[in-house]
Order: sequence, then structure tokens, then C-alpha cells
Amino acid sequence: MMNEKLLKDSLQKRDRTIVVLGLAGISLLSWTYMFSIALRDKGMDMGMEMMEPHIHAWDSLNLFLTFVMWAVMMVAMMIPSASPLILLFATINRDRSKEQDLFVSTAAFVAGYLVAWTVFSAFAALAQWGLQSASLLSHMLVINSPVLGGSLLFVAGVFQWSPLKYACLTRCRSPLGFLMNEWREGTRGALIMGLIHGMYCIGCCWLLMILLFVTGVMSLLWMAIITIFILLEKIVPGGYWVSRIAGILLITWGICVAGGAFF
Amino acid sequence: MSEISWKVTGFYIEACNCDSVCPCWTGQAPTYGFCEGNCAWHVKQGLYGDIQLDGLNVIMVVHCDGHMRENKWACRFYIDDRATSDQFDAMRQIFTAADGGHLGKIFHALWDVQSVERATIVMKSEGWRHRMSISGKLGLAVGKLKLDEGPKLCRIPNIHGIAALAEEDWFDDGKTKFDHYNKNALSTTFEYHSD
Repeated sequence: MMNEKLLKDSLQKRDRTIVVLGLAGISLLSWTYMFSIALRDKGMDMGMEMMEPHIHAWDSLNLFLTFVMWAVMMVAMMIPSASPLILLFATINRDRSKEQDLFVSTAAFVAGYLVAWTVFSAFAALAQWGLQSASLLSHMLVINSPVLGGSLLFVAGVFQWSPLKYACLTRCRSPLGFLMNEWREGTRGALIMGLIHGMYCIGCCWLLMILLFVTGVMSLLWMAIITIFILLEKIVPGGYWVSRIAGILLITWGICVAGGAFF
Repeated sequence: MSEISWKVTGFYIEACNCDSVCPCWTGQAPTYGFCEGNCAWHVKQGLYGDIQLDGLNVIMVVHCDGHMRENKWACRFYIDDRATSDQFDAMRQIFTAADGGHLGKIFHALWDVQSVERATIVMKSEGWRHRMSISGKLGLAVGKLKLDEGPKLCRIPNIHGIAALAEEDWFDDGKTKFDHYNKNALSTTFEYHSD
């Protein structure tokens, strides 16, 4: 009896370690990819500052690479804050399914979550294409119109106070609450739950991600800041207030940026 | 998995040793590193197959050494002794997560059910302020707000209830003993079903 319990505990620890390592591995790979692109672009800037060739040459390959970049960036930024729910999901599944099923359904859950963000990335890539075609992005991928940039910041700030934001954040913040309300059986169920959670996350964070057009799409510093902010908003006890105070800061920032255009 | 179709609705209260609001609900570790407290359900309307469960109560005494996601919760159940033996079995199936259904799907892997007993449970209820007790053994009362103002919507996401402080949260069966007066408490409603 005792041995059985010890064996179960150690299996449980091993399973958790595998899931944690998997998530850490995915994040690390994504961040590494982002670093490598950021460094390469920096190198290109120094060499080809005068030419700015790639801005105008939008072909399907370019669009695809931009989409891949966004998709990987979303993985890098969102996996950390999704991990508490993924770990709880794995725990709940542990006793209920055969061992190989545990990893299958956890992977399905993560996949569903990432599919949602990948769809978002396609839209973000299209937006980037649109902005660049309209010459609204600098070669550092920053919006060069203070009015547009300021307005985006302002809208993102107001959104932090909106009922939609509140509703999505509410569903994001409690892993146990989410699973109690949304549970579905099987691998397919796991995929759907992941998708639903991803959609709530997008509802929470889409404007924060769009802000990357203001801070620089390839700015690793701002990627890190937004990632940490999303994590705080989601997990600290006063998350709602973190969210709202950030909203006020964004509104103020937006007014300053847009106002700067007129003075 | 459940072969019998069932559905129970009613109110739920809990109180534990965490500071209010309990961080466990948002996936955090318990405030003091472990969790200890009482949880109670009052079934307003319930049907398990064709067994009526209206008006029955069940209390769960819980202890968890560490993060509630990573450690088993030791659970002891007390089921209303007004229940007939059929009702007792139905309540046990539903609330100890033995059957499939709502609680079973989520808590089967987390709960370690140590005992299920009958007890005389006294319930008092006024709005969202509820109290349940077992004479000389257990008391659980949720009804005190953290700040002295009108009922606040619960800050626990996805749970539409009221986060409050415990007016009473104690247990003493001669071996285990705790008292977490004025710590985290929650009052909400529930609706669980078999599928």
C-alpha cells in the first residue's frame, strides 16, 4: 500500500517534470528564435540602412515569414501565463487516463491554445503588411505617425477598463474555475478547451500585442515587458487593479504621444 | 463514468486558513503553505436517477500539504443523517467525486477521500450568509465582509459568489483540531450534473 503510494507520487512528479520541461522548452525555443531574428535585423540595419529594400518588397514569402514570426512571438509571450492552467489540466488528467493519454491530451490542450494564437498571428501579419504598404511603419517596425501611435495607446488604455476585458480576464484568471465550467472529455475535448481558453486570452491581450506596433514589433525589451505584465495581470491577487492602473498609464502615454504631434 | 443521470443545485460555502481572497483559486500556493478548512454544500434541488435529494447537506473537511495543484487533498465527508440509505449513497456518489459527472471529472485526481460518515448537520441561511454545523465537532459560517460595506462581487474569477471572511471555521474530532476564525471564506451557488 505504502509502496504503491510512493510509486504513484514519484510517477506524478515525473509526469509534472515532463510537462514543465516541455513548456519551458517551447518557450525557450521561441525566445531564441526571436533573439536570432532581432540580432539579424540589427545587423541588417547597420549594413543596409540606406537601402531599406525589404520594406517595399512585400511578396507572399515575406508575408509568410512575418506570419511565422508573429506566431512564434505569441508562443514565446503566452506560454508562461498559460502554464498554471496547463499544469492543472495535466494533474486532473493524470489519474483519469492511461499514461500515454495524459501527454496526448495535454499536448492537445496546448495545441488548441496555440491554434487560437496562430489565427491571431495571421491577422497581426496582415496588419503589419497593411501598415508597411501604407508606409506607416519605420524600418524598425515602429508606427511613425504620432497620432496613430498615440491613438492606439489611448484605445488600449481604455480597453483595460472595458467590460469585455473584465469578462475575458475573469475567465483567464482562475484555472480551477475555468476547468470546472468548461470541462470536456477526451483528446478532442482537450483541444476545444485549449481553443476556448486561447480565445479568452486573445480577448484579454490582443490590444496589448498590437501595441508592439508602437513600441517596435521586434523590440525584445517590450516583448519581455508585455509578457511579464500579462503574467502579473493574470496571476497576482490584485490583477484587476494591475490591469486598470496600466490602462491609466497607457491613456496618459497615448495623449502625450499624440499631443506631441501638435506642439 | 456515471450511468445514472443526475443534477444538483444549491449553495456552497467554504472557509480555510488562507488570507482572503484565497490564492488557491487563482492557481497560487496557499497563503501559509498548506490548506485546511471546511467546505459545505446545501442541495436546494437534486435528483439522482429518481432519488430526490432536496434539502440535504454535505460537509467536506479538507487538508492539503502544499500547493493544491500538486498535492492530494485529504478529504473527510459528513453527509446529512436525515438521508435515507439510497439518498446517502447518491450524495456520496456525487459529492465525493466517486461518480463521473461534474465533480468527478475535475476532482477525482485531486481528492483523497478518507472517510464518509453520517452526521446531524444544522443549517441556517439568510441571503448569502450561511452557517452549517455539527454539534461539538464542526462550525462553518460565512457572513462577514472584509470591508464593512454591501455585498461585493467575488474577486475569484469564474465564480459568481461573494468573497468574505469566516465568522466561524473550526473542526475538532479529538484528533484533528483547527480554528480559522476571520480567515478566507466564500459563498456561492452551484449547479452540477452527470454529463
